[in-house]
Amino acid sequence: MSNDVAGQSYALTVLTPVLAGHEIALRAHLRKLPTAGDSPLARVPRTHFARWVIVPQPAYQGPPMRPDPWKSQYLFFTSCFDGDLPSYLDDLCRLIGPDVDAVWQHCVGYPGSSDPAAFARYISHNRIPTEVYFAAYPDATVEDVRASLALKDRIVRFALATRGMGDSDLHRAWQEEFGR
Amino acid sequence: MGNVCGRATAITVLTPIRPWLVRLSRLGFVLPRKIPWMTQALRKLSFIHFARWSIIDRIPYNGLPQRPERPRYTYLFFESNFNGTWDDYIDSFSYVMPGRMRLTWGSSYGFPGAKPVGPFKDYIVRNEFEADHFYSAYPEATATMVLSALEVERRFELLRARADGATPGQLAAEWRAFLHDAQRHL
Repeated sequence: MSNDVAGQSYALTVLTPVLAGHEIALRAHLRKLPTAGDSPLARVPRTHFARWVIVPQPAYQGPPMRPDPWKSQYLFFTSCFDGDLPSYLDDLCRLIGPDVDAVWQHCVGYPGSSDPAAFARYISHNRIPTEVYFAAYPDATVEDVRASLALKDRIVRFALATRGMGDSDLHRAWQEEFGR
Repeated sequence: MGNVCGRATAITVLTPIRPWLVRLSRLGFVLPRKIPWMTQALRKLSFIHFARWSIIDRIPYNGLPQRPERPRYTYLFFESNFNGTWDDYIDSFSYVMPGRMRLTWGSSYGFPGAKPVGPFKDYIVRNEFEADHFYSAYPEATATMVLSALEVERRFELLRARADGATPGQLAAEWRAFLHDAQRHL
């Protein structure tokens, strides 16, 4: 099985070269994106966690390491998402095409999201395979996680509301809340 | 703070591997894939949602104006999505699994060892990059909250099946038993 996969969860890592002279604009754009539920990534509901990170240069560790300057700055994109890679890349184009264009237009060779096949080729070409992927709950989709958190809240509310009730009242309350 | 989204924190680390240890480093990743108890140790660190390690041994070329890269070294990429503070996170790695840390970063230049924790923290700080945008789909939920909720749901579905057609007395007994069993997850 691929090391990129744990349960139904996929780890994507992409490394793309930032166009010379675009580094400041790209960073400014990423830093002013709305966050959490307002992030463009929230509109790709299969995404558990994701990030964009600009790496100007790997750190030099001093001797005996020899300096190893990279010629470009690189944009890392990583995502932990549900399901397979091709359909996820398709979702990125279909659901937030203009948003991904606004980011990757600052990178060399980016073909745009209007051609999903070209977009998929670009991401796949620049993808770094995973060695080890750890997922604490690899079989739970984003939807599963949210549903279980909501159910837990509902159960706690029900437990508090029915505390001390007799059997018949509890039965009635149960039927109203959870009966099917 | 680009590394924070609600209760979730991002860490992104890139370190150069000593050339003669690249093979050993790869082997260090084969083992946890083959021996589940090694990743079980991560599971014990109950504040990690997702983490990954990758080895970057070439940088893809995309044509001009990119200048072809021929990095002198192979790099180790690490990222984690966790809840809590950065300090607690590194402390836990240092105290709970120093051997695993040595296996992971021992082949990288400059790694001082996972203990004592001070130099280890300095090492991570030197080699980490702040996220320019970090997203979590459920930023207010810790990893423990998610695992607990999934466990409560599993038990609740069993309860719900048993509650179908139960008398008030049976239902009350089942409900109390459920609460008793599930209370540490609620």
